[in-house]
Amino acid sequence: MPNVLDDLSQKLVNLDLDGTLDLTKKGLAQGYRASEILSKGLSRGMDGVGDLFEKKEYFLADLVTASYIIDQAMTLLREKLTAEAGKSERRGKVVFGTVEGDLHDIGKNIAIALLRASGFDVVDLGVDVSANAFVRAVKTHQPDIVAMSALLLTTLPGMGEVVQALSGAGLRQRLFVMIGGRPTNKAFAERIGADAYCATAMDGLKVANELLKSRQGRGAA
Amino acid sequence: MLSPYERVILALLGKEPDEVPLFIGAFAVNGIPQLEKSPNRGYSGYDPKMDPKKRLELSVAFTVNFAKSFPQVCTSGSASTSLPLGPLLARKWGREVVYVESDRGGFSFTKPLLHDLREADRLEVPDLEKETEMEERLHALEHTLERDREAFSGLEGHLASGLQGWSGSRVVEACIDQGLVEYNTFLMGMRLFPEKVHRMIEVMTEYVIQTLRLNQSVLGKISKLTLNDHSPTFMSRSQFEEFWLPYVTRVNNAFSGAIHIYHNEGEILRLVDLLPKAKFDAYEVGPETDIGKVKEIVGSQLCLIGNLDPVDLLPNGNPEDIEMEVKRIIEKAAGGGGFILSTGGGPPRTTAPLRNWEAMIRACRAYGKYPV
Repeated sequence: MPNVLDDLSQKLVNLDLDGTLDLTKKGLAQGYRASEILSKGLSRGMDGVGDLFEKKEYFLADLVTASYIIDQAMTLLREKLTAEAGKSERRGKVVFGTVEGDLHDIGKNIAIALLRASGFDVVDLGVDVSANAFVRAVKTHQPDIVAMSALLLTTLPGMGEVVQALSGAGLRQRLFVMIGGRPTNKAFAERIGADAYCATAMDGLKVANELLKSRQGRGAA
Repeated sequence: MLSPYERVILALLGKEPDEVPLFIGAFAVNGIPQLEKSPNRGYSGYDPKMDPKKRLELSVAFTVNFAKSFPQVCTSGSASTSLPLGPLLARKWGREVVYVESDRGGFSFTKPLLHDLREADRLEVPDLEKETEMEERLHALEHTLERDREAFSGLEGHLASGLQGWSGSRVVEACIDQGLVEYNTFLMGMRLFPEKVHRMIEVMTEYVIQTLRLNQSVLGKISKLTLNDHSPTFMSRSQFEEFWLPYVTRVNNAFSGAIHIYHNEGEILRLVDLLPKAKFDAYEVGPETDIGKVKEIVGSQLCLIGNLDPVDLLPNGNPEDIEMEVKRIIEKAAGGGGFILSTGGGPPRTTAPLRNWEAMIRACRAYGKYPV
């Protein structure tokens, strides 16, 4: 018989806002830990949404909807998650921004919602972020990963400029750089010296996990 | 012998010209002006924040040089002769508008007008003819057109511009561009607050039609209308049919005598069969889309424009790669006419070396003689 977390995960897969919020509250009322509701309910539901996206039954609008619903559910969980934080393990820290000249944040926001829902600590720099602003944020927040997004062909060179600026500031070797966005591709990522290209927001989550795992495998970046 | 512009028009009408038309959108803000690095190819000094009249002069000089340097190519006019939607709507409803300092220039918003889509009910279309801002823009448009007429005399065979009645706009995506909502809010709203999203698009559609009519009052007639709207890239088929198709069709119907062109660099193969229903005559195909598959689906219903990859191949490939790709695209899409070779989207700032543009032009002439 499915428990409340199974039902919760299915509500999210169905993109049912009210149902997801009701079952999140119900889970808390039944004594589930917030981190359990997140991992066994919402994150699992997001996996289901991702599967449908991969099968092309869901499209970006549906991913956005799912991330919005998770955001709403997180407002119910945030306080308890903070209280539980000492007991759980942070996956990694990401500094994320849309590059200079580009005002589009659609992909970035979905990717951030997914990363946060999976336990990443994400610093969102917003849109139109200059290379210098990325460098400043890296110095301040000491992230494991710098993630960049762009929607416009005309702003693509900004990604390479960020990689160069990080190298120039002596910061490049200590972190991973991943990029994504409509005009990007694997060859472009390699050319500018990024560590990884993410085809979709879901892919971004997968890649972030793989990058951190690879670092554990080799000691330190 | 047909001019490059005549070839473009024949292709838009679904016909076979003498050879495949070649169109390169040489706007000041995309990568083409980088050709300035080659002698006598372009102009220098473009800055989106400079005085508009000075900017216009630079754009005109660039276009004249470009058209003379590449006589085989049809290109776009100097400055935009479409009346921009501008941030008028958002400003009218009390939004703060700021100007961004970037290569693209233009306006931006500190926050969206509608934080909550449920506020969409308060949106009303202003009477644009009474707006001072619109009046000023119409004057600017008249000035641009007048300047173009003088500067492009003798180049009519190479230019697709406002002088020949070309105009353009966004429609559904304008809700985001004009600062009403953020993209994410719009997308999730289609599922969670559909009636509010309909209300917002309804207002925007009316605004777009009014703006284009004002534009038409300056141009004389809109005979070619390009609707540039990427929002379908992110939609399911049912969302496209519900939230996009009816509104865009309405705009196209409002200018029923025009040739209707749809521009979207995103991947929408799943939707292309529906484009003729929206009264489109032509579709600018993005680089990620297999233009051969589009041709299989739409047949002769749409003129296809595209789709040489401007992201990777054009800037980084060698001339031989580019010639082979042009040949491949022509083989897939040019048969029977109704095809224009172009880039699949605007070239980026760090554009291709000149030899690659020349390879594109050379290959088009070599492999594009009809019948192909």
